[in-house]
Amino acid sequence: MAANITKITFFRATATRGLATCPPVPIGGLTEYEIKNTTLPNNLVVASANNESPISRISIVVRAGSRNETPDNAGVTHTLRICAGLSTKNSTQFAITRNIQQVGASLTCSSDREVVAYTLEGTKQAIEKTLPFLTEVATQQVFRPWEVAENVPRQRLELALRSPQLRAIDLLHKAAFRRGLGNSLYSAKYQLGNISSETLQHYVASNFTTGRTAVVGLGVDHSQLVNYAQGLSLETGEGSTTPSPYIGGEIRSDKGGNLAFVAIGGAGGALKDTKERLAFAVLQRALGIGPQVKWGTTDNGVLSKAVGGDVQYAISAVNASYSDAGLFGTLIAAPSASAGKIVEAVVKVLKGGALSDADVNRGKNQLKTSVLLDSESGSNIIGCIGSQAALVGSAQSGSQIAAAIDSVSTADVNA
Amino acid sequence: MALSFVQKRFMSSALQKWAYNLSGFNKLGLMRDDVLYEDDDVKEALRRLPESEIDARNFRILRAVQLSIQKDILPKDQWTKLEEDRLYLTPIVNQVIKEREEREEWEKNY
Repeated sequence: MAANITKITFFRATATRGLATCPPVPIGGLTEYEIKNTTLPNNLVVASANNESPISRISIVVRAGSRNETPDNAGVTHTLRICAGLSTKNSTQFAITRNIQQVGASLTCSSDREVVAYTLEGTKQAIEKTLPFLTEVATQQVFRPWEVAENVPRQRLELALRSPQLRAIDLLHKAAFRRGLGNSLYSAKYQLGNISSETLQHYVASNFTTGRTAVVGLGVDHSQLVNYAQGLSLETGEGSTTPSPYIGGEIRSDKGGNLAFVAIGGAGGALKDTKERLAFAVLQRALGIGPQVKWGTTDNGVLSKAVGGDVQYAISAVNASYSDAGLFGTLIAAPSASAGKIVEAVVKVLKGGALSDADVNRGKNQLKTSVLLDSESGSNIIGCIGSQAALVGSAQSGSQIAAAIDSVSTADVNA
Repeated sequence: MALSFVQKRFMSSALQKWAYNLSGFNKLGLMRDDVLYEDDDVKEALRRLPESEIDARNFRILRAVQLSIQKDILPKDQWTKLEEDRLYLTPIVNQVIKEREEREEWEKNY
């Protein structure tokens, strides 16, 4: 396999560049690439980047995340995620699984509060063979009642495997936004088995429309991707998006164990407000998200310094930007005896602190590094580009974002 | 919906009705799919039936068993008519068979 790859780059280098003075393409693909964005007439967004990686990734991203749930169908996005890959109009679950396995591709469904993404990853030949299955799974799902019912134990397992930190952040969102963005990513236990096939079909029919979908590709040709996207049969329309403003509140959940997980947050930066959201991201890094050196134990963030080193704890600043609202705060994990003291110290920093230039620069550098590191990994970047394309309408490459981060000033962050 | 398994070419509708009445299960109030032999495919299809259909089927079978214990049949106006008989299970059985065959094809080749 490695021998084949070097052969390909050798020929390409001599054919297109003449002199073989340029370095060979790294195995993970190029890291500096240009992202092409197209919006089709039916409002479907197509974004792709050719990073010349041997693995191609195509993702269909739909704005059908948990913020679109209503109290009637609470838990439908969790069920939708679990039911990805079940029988479709033209294919059985068995055929989808076996065909994709046979060529070595992989199909995953991931969802967050705003989007649901179906991603197909594999070598170029594998993608060619299994692309129809991606279309089927993303757009032609049938949700047979017995198949949906068979997957409830899997859903229960997912609920049981949630870590306390995950639950803390989930509850923080619920306290901050109540409805909309406050809807949990996971189904409530009493809703397991109550989400019927009709509910799922209705949810898909009303949310999987062309105005809310983006098709994203990495390592694929842009014009081919546009052709593919034009062939997707989705209903046209924008669907409805209810705004989800920040409201605020407090939720306490008592579980066993001797660790307390406290998540404190306030309104953050929305995606559509570029300056605000970059400033909040820099602020998150400046406050500290844990040790940044592998195997290291010291964290130079402002929060860690404020709390001091005499108790055991883990602290991280939390920043989430959604399309019309944001959440910013901290997550503290500590033994329950010392949790109170730590929370007081953290709140003091959050309420009153002003950061020095050095802190802000550290934040900016760390943020730039992590953005660029992420963009080196194809599997991370497909999710990134997908969310950007679906929520904002166009995607920026890692280096463009890094350049934008440079422009954030200390005054922005302190405000 | 009339039964579709009856060969339409050689039978007029009167002949169809006579053949249906000859089979006897309609005199006990049963439909054709109630008397399907329960092999594995039919069992899987029954698992997929919605609950309302299962309840109606169980009632019809129970009524037929009671009648056969008493060596009795329903009065003529309550017999299942050919037009009323519905193949509620056969399409699902066919789908189950198709899925099983797809699975067996795969097992053979890979």
